[in-house]
Amino acid sequence: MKSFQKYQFHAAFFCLAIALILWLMEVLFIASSKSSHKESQYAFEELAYFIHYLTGYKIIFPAIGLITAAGLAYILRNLLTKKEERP
Amino acid sequence: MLFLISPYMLMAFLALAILALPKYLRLSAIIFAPLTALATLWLYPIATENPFDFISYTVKSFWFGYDVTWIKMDIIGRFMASIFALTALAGGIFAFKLARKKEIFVAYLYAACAMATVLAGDLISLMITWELLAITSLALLWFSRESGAQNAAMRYGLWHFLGGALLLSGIAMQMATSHSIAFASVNLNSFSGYFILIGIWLNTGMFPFTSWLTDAYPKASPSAAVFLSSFTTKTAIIIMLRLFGGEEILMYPALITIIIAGIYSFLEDDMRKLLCWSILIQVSFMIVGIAAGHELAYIAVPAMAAVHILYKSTLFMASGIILHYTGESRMSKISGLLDDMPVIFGLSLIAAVTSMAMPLTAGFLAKTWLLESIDKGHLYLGWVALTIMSGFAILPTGLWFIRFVFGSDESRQQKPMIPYIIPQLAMIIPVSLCLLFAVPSLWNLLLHTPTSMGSVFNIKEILHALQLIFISLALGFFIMKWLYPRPTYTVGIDWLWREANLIYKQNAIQPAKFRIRITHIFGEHFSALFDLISSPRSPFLRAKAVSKQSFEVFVFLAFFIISWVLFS
Repeated sequence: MKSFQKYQFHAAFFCLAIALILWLMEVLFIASSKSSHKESQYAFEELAYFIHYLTGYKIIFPAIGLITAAGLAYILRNLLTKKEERP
Repeated sequence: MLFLISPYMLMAFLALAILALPKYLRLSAIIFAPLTALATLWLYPIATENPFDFISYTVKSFWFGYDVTWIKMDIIGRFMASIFALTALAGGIFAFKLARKKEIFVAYLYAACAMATVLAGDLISLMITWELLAITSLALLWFSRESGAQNAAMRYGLWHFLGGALLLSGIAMQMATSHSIAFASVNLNSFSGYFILIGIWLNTGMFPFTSWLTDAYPKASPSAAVFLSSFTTKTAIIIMLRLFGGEEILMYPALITIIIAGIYSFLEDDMRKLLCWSILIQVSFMIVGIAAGHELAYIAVPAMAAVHILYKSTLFMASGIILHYTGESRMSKISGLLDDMPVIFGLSLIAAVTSMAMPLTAGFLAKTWLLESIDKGHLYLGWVALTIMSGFAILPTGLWFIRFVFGSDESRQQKPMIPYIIPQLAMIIPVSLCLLFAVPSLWNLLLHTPTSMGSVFNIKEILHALQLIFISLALGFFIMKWLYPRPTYTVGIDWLWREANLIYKQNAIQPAKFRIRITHIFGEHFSALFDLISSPRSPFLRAKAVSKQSFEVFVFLAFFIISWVLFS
């Protein structure tokens, strides 16, 4: 892990690629296991179920949360930190 | 008689041997005391096999005109007490080389009190064990020789005794109104319920009481921090689960806490404070589970608490060893420890991936159950909020700690060091449990989980967990450049009253200076009011002259008596 700073962006792209592959795997898994939710009475339910996974909400939602929190932290950085410890 | 051979009494008595025995025999006492407590726990019979039923074997005595249940050996209590005993074992072995015998003794008493609190069967036994827990944790912090520990202990004590006073007030009101000391009699339909809730809430460290945790724990000694991080918040979680399971109102401050702790964790430079913010995030997750109140939460929340104790104690042990050897806990000043401490890095990495709920670790099962319990409890807002917040919730321990403590930058140099073997061996205990608890059937044995709960270990949940981990890591690596730790101190909510206290102290000595400032800011009218308050004949100053503390105690007691009269 020496001079890790240089490879931070490489690591980020690597993790992003894996996350996208996992999302693709999930979509394919849901599509291939269509018989597992036979109980859906209407076709639109099937479609809604599929779209629900197609959105990749397990990637999008945490990403929104993380970027928002990090952005707020960056903006409030000078307000929330001091150079000297409080008495 | 059974009370005397109760697990926690045995642990407390056996801990005396730590003080009495010479150093070469002390380790045997450190190992023997928690293991005996653990064995005794499992010798107690449990009356029911149903984890949702709290009717169980009890030990009672007659106090204050009530049958006080000192031990209620239900499945959750036994499970949590077992985890406390195992953590005490690991913490004791860890402390053997790093702490004084007095400190280890007090730490064991603290662990015994934590066990007693989760086994308490009614409000009176809860009150007594709760106060003992506060006293022993305060003593543990007091014995720390780290700089600033004494002052932090004072602040910690003030907060916890305030919490204890509120809990006592609530319980007294409860006894006066319902004439019952049963846990079932507590609810939020009465004023007493809110007193009890705030008393317990304070111990969880949730908003607006986040400051005591991030203030006290980083100032404790390396070994004390392991114990402190494991017991106080988790006992509060278990008691809250028993008393307030299903109260939706708990969810909102818990969500606020996650946001605050998430933002602060990005700004933190102190590695132990970073772990404290992570504690707050994880405890908030558990509280949202409690708010859901689904019967699955009665398994998921203790499971999450147990797993959290295991990986967080490992990380506190790692940070303790680093602090002990480098004398530094600022991430901006230490880094690149991978080459010097490869074993500690490996063990910390396992703890970190457990905290991220990686499949094949205990964290995966616990977190999946927790989210499922929130979903099944129809707490959809909580479920969506936790899904959104999961991204930054896993970063403090999952990426920040590992990257900035063990990863190196070219410009930074460390001197080589060889850590002791025994503290590293101690770290193996919680780490191996993190991996062992990844087996669903083990949970079935310990928490009597329904076999259907093992079904969360399926491809869909595994893919979801991995997606969350990798997208969080990807974004974490991206933003790292802009949020690199700087040698600064974070300013929490406590800054408000600490600054107010400073201003008060400065101006109490120099009232004339304060008057000029008041006149400058608010004009002459307000300075006339100030003259009235601060004149030698002022009732405020006369009360202060007698004794400031007694005046404050008087105000609190008056408030308590008036509330009792009004609401009883």
